[in-house]
Amino acid sequence: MTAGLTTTGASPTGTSAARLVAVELRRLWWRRLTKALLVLAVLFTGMTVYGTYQATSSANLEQQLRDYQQTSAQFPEMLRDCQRAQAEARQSGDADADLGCSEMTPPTPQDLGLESPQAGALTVSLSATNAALYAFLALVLGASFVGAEFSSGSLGTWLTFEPRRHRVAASKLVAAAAGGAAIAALGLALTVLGAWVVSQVNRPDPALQLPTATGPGDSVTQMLLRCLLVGVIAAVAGVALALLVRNTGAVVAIVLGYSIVVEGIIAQGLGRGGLVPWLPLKNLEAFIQRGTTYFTEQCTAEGCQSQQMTLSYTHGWVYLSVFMAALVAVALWLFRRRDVS
Amino acid sequence: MDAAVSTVGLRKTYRHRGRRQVAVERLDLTVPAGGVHGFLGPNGSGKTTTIRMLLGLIRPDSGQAWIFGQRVPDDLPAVIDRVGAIVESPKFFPAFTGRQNLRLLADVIGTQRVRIDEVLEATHLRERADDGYAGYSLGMKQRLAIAATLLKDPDLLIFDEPTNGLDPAGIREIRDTMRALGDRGKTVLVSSHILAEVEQIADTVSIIGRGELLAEGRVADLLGAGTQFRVGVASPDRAAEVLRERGLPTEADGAFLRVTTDDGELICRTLAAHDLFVHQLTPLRPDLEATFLRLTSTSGLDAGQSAGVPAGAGLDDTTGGAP
Repeated sequence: MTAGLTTTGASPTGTSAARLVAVELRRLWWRRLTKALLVLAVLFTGMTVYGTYQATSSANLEQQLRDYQQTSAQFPEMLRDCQRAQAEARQSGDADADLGCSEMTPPTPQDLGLESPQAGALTVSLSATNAALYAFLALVLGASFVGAEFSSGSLGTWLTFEPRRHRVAASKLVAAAAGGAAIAALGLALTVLGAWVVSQVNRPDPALQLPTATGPGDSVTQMLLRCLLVGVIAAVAGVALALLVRNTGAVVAIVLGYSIVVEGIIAQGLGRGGLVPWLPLKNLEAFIQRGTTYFTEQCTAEGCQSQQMTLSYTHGWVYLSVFMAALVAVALWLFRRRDVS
Repeated sequence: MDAAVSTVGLRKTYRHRGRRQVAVERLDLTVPAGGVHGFLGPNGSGKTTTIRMLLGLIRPDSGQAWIFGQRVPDDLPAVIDRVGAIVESPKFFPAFTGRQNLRLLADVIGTQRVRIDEVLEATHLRERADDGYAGYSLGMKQRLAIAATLLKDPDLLIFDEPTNGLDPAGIREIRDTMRALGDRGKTVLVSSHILAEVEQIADTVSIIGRGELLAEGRVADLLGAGTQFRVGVASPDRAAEVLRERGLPTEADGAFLRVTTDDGELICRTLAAHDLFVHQLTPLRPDLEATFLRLTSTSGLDAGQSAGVPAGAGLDDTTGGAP
């Protein structure tokens, strides 16, 4: 071993932030998990596109058309039944009985999802669904990118080559963000392609005279950009959480546990739904969908009543910005201070 | 002499089961630039903690440390290119090959790619460079770690228990490497609890126990220049009498005499004056193991903490040097 201790070529030129990011990007690409997550993004997208294909297939549309015609034919009788029941109730002493018959309207094709599939609308609908999947994959990517370093101990070796921890952490954040964007971009590109293919393949027979789906209420491009950004946010959150808890599995467990237990089960009970606007995933939903709704319980002396509230897009992105800034700041601070074993 | 590494009052405690445990206590360490410096102490004595503090991996509670005059960890970036280190066991990305691991590290510091092949060649890993790191034997992992430290061609190399888990050939190879680096003017700081290993390769040594520095200096000075001699002479009884008359404490040692003095020439002159001619004069000096045990016992360390020191080993003086 001693014979080869020559110094040829050993001329370290120092570490720049850009070089560090480039190295981290290379490491990210070399990881098998990165490729596996890209494959999963493709598979997930394929599954959701296939689901849309089935839902908008000719056979399905014909069945929906039959359901529509049947419902339309039954509507006058349903209305008469309602009016008869209402009259009986009033005759039996309840003069104010109102069974809502006056609000009953004949069904429209749209009520039964009977629309001619349109690429833009399908893209928006699919993207909103798939964004959550891409976000989860990006989160796993970011968390494992750093978690693996802690579990293998290689972070200690890394820091003996570049001890500036903020720079090290920042390079990991940037690389993971790029990885999260790549996952989301691949998935969204396939979503756009899939939606277009479905709209072409499942173009219904003109004889059916189906109404054309109304165009998306949101710009398709803006929707795609927001979904792309969600992938970036999730990857950054994965890195930040991994810097905090130092374990990939723990990050995934925390996020899934929180999503299911806190936002899925007990969120509505927190302050009678009043705390929902301050939960991260609800704000993420508001960001993706340019606003969302939630329910609160308004209680008076006469009792409690459920009320639908709106969580605005602005609230969503401002909340997410502050939340992410705080999460990253705490992660960087702790990473700088903590011992690395 | 310039110091490659120095610490003043370095202290580190850990919280363990709700209690603070001292890992390193007021450590004043000086590692001279150039040569091999042994950092000796039983397992759990604070060697690795000290090295981690020097490398900025953990933060000291108090005290100061410098590497090549740069305060660490604050100014570590200014000097990190001159430092190569292996802390405890080698740690790399297990899913990558040896070459991939080295390439990432080389790119971090901007070292030319040709250097990767050089260090792989130097550590005899070139043929297995494209195998996955997870499949490496411990010896290969250790060699890869050394290859990584050599990527920078550092002036200071820190090896923490570098021969752990290696076979005899691997141990010898690592020792030779460290010695060769020291001979080339590099500073090699090698921590070990294997006393014989340090004694063979180190020029200077620091001994710590329970996180405190017990002794520091040149190995020869620590061991002593030889306070006893084994003397071979034709008439040992007569010679013993003469030496005692001269005031030199002398006792029988089988067919030889054991004389307590640090002046071998005086023994020869005294006996020759009485026509007693010495045919063997061997300086006896305590080995590092004995010195280590003496120091740790006087500092209150029990035998249980002196891990790595075989029970009873090194308690007797051994011969060292030729007549």
